[in-house]
Amino acid sequence: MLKVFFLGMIFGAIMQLGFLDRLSKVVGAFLLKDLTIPKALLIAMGVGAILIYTGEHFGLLQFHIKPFYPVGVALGGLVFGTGMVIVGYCPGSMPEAVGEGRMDAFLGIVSGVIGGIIFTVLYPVYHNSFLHGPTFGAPTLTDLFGLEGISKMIVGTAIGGTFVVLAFVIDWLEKKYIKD
Amino acid sequence: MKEKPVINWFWAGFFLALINFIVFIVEHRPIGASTAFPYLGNLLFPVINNEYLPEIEKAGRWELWFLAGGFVGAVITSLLTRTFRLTFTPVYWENRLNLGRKSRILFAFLGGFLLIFGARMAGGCTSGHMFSGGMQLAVSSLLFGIFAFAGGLITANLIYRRRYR
Repeated sequence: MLKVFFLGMIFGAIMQLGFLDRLSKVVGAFLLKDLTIPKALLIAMGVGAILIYTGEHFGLLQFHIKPFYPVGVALGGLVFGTGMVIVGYCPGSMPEAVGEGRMDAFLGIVSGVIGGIIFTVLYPVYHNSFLHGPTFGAPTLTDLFGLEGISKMIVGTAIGGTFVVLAFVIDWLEKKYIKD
Repeated sequence: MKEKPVINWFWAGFFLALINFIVFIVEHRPIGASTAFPYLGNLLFPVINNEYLPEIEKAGRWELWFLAGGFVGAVITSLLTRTFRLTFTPVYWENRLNLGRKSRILFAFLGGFLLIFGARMAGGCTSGHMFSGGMQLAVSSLLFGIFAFAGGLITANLIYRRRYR
């Protein structure tokens, strides 16, 4: 677990240096005033897709895809997005925010842990309810197109490249149209 | 004025992709965060007839160690770059949103709860779904990203827009 701790330290350093753990950046993103987080996320997804799809093709790693249950994922997404704007942090950015002295994020962690306990209690009910809904495997976009082998890698890296371009387009639009 | 980060959005995103790629190779799993919260909760307050803990135990322990590292990493870089500030109410909260300390306590508490509850409903958060799932082009994660963004936009416009200055 020391290795995991060390990898976490690198993650925390990047988040903190990029100010991705700040309330101003989260709220600013959803008010469409400061697009630092959406742009960084698109770069991470885009460069990540290029690395992961290439790495998988050459047998360096395996995919780990989350199950697709549209009702629960969409409802959970709405609740999550609402919570993120209200608390001003993400689950993965609260420890870094506390690390740089923002103690309101510590309250977020405490109530997040309480939320986790209450979810644990409700899980048996939720898991079988209409709020969770049916699961349709765990597909990726390239699976939907039925791609395999080299064509999967090419399309995966191409979509990744598109995300990177999109981040720069958003940056250009932000500079042009968004006044702070 | 916008706060200018030490490294810009491009390099932050680039290095996040790189560290996740390394985690995929050496840990045989992606980066994730939200499972650490119910895991920690279950350590502190064991729930009886627990169906959830066996499903998240392994991932939860991993993510808890990962986030503990994240905390220490942020302490180090914020001290080195002199961006460490011991505060409770962010300056942005007071100056741009024109809100006070009481509302910060209330919002942090309510928001943190919804954040983790929503993430566990969907099976992931910004890290596990949007970032790790997004870069694998997972359908589930892209759907989550769209709905999380929609929920955030609606809520931000309802509660912050008219206060913003």
